[in-house]
Amino acid sequence: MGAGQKSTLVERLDALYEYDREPVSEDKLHGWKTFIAMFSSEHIAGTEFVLGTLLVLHGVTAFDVFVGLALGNLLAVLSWAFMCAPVAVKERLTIYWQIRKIAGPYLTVVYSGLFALILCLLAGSMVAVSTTAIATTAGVANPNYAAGETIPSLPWIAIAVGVGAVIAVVAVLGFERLAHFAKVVAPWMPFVFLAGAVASLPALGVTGPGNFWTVANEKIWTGVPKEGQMPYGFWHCVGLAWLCNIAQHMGMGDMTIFRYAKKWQMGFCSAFGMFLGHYMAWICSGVMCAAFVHAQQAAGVADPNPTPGDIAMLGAGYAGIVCVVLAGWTTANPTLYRAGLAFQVATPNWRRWVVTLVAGVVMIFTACIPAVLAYLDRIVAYYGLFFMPLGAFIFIDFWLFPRLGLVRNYAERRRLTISWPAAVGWFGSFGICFMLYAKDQYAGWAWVNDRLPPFLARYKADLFLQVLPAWIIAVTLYTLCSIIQQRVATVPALEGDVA
Amino acid sequence: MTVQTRLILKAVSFLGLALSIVPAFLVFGGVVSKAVYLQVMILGMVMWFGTAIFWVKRDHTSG
Repeated sequence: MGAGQKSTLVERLDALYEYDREPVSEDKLHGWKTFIAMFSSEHIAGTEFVLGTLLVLHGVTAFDVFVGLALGNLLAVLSWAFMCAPVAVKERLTIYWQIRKIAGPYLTVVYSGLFALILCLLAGSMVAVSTTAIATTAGVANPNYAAGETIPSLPWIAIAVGVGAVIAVVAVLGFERLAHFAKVVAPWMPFVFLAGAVASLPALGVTGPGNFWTVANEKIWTGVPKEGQMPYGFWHCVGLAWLCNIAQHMGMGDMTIFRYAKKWQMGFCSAFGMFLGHYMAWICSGVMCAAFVHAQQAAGVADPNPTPGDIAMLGAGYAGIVCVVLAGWTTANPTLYRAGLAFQVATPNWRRWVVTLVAGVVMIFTACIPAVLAYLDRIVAYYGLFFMPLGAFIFIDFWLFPRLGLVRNYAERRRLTISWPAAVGWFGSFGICFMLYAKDQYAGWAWVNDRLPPFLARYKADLFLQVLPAWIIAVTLYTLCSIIQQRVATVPALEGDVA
Repeated sequence: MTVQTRLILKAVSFLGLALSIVPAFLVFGGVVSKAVYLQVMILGMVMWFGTAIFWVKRDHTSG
């Protein structure tokens, strides 16, 4: 790629976010209600039907779910309130411009491109969730990945293509009306989750609050994983709840939202999203999953396949089916729209609608891979760990660099096209954490154990428990490299540099 | 839309929300059957969507 092309790529990306270049003005700031509504609606998605179910299948206990998820979600709320929101209300810039200031335009392009890909993957999982509901209603069997069905049937693929095409077309036409509809859907969905779970309890043998805990441990969260599933425990629940939105809180992605907040304390509004969507909804979908599995086993099905459509149908009937379809649809659409925006950077002279349709094709393709839903918890964990470091740099750059006498926003001030400390910190952190996890998980990486010091070879890393190590490694590498960059390099001081 | 119409629409919407949750507890308490509960859930859904779409405000902010 020539230098001319590179500058064009950066210019296109800048132009895409041109309107967000200036800090938000005082008259455009919003109050508590806006953020409560935003978080409440954004974090009840179709994928909640999947993640609550996965916890049941991975054999967590009731204590793990109720206490572990509470702790994980609390950590997530604190991360939003004390890490993301304070920096956002002081800088009042989008994550895009913030990364560009500290990492340089080239790393920002890499971030945008990879972020677009993961957004397509997530939108695909939401399409798959909606498809399971329509397939259930139409009498088409949902693919059972656990039973070895790695490719869905042709009728199922046809439904997924139909659902995905509708979502892609709406994203192309502009989703303002859908955004309004999503706002209408949002207050109703938590009621369906709760109703589905409460109405499913008698089928599991719960006769009142008195025996709920006993039944919960014996029939819902039994502590015994389904055959072929990795066992999860308390810390997995904590890690999943904390990790699944880490790109937004510790990764600072929601700076884009909180730059409109009047006060940093509005970061606590995230509690409404976490405790409705990632606590209540996960618990409710777990209850519905267990009720479905027991009903199927009672009917003589040896290997039940609890898909979102099936569990919602059993728990809340056709209202549940509509909930699954809408939960998937209303969240897949903005996700696809954002992916299209990011992809547009790498596709010179392509029209927006063409790019969005291409992103839609990627989304539909991933929707037709049953493994995506089966490993959704792992995918969101990888997603979080990979994108979190750049947000960690923003945090450190804001709070620590002035105290260390380092120059803030060094890449911007020196007009660097790439910040090598950011590159080392970003890829180094993810690479180290991935290697420590992969050495005990994938045969191809087992050789790493032979070359590591004994204490590291003995360390059995789990993907969900890598949040803190990944953050610490990222900021340590970034800070040390920045010290080398700024202290060793003989660069003349600029006006405004910290002494 | 007049204030009265808006109030009526809101009342129907919130009644729809109530019908989307209360019957579940009645099933749990053994007061109504699950079949009735499933039908009331549909009624609640229709009442909510049929009215809320007219009074839930569009979001004019971006970000």
